[in-house]
Amino acid sequence: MKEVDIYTFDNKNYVLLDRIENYLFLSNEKNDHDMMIRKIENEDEETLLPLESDEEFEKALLLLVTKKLKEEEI
Amino acid sequence: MSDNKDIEIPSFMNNTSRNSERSPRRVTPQERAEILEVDFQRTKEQSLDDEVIHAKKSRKKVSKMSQVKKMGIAFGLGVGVTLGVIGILNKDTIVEIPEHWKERQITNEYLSDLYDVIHDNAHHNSNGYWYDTAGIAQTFHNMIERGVPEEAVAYVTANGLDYVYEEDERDVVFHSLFDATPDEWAKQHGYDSIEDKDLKKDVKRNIVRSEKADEYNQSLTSMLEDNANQMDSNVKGLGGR
Repeated sequence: MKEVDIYTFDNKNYVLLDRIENYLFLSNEKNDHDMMIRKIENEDEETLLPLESDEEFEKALLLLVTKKLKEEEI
Repeated sequence: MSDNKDIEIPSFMNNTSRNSERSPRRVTPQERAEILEVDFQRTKEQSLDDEVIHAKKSRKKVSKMSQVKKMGIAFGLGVGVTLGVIGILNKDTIVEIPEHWKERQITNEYLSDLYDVIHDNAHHNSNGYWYDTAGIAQTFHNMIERGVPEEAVAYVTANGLDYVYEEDERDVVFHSLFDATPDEWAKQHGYDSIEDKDLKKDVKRNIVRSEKADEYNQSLTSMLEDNANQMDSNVKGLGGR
């Protein structure tokens, strides 16, 4: 078992998969397919802001991909 | 707020069957692509939804592999968008990612079902978590009998029960399955120890090789069936029955 950060809203728990810069990668604890990327500002970690555009969504995903690729030591 | 009070039982523990006969699930490349596409669109919609979310942050114990599985899916999403956004990465990277992603997905899906054996046999009571080691060993034994590689089972047992306070359970499962400690088993199979990185590499390589062989056999079978059906229909077309 491992301790992780949980964000609770709408009566659902979302596991924090990763944080890169100010982007939070969240996944519903009970549904692996229910995921989202949100961002925080000013270290207010309980206010999850939407991404502003397709481009920002792609940028956030790219950050995650790049990090995972590095971890996998391709 | 206390970190661990009022913790719900994680979803993966709701299934507490002790002798699961589940075998590693095979997802076809097409199914994998469809799942990826649906997940990608949903994630995008939820990420761009205008509503500001006010959440409550806390900490909680969850399954390690559950986390890894989710990471794997998230990784897949990332690759999906990467492929759709030519220009963000340079060409070499774009060419390199898909095959690696496919192999990673194949490996994660295969190993996830093995990790689930441990999770399904984890139980919660007022003193915390405990493992049904007999249930884990029996299910793994059945899986090995059905052709799951011993190396994959050993790897998952060692990694799924790798905390200091899980060592006893890990050793019990190893003794039940292999009549050896984890390191003894590793040395018998040519590895320095159970933590030898070559074991991880071999397990992943063998899973990918095996799954690709299965895919090839499935496509070959399908092709032969198509040919047989075509010949059958030709015969009928010529007046046969």
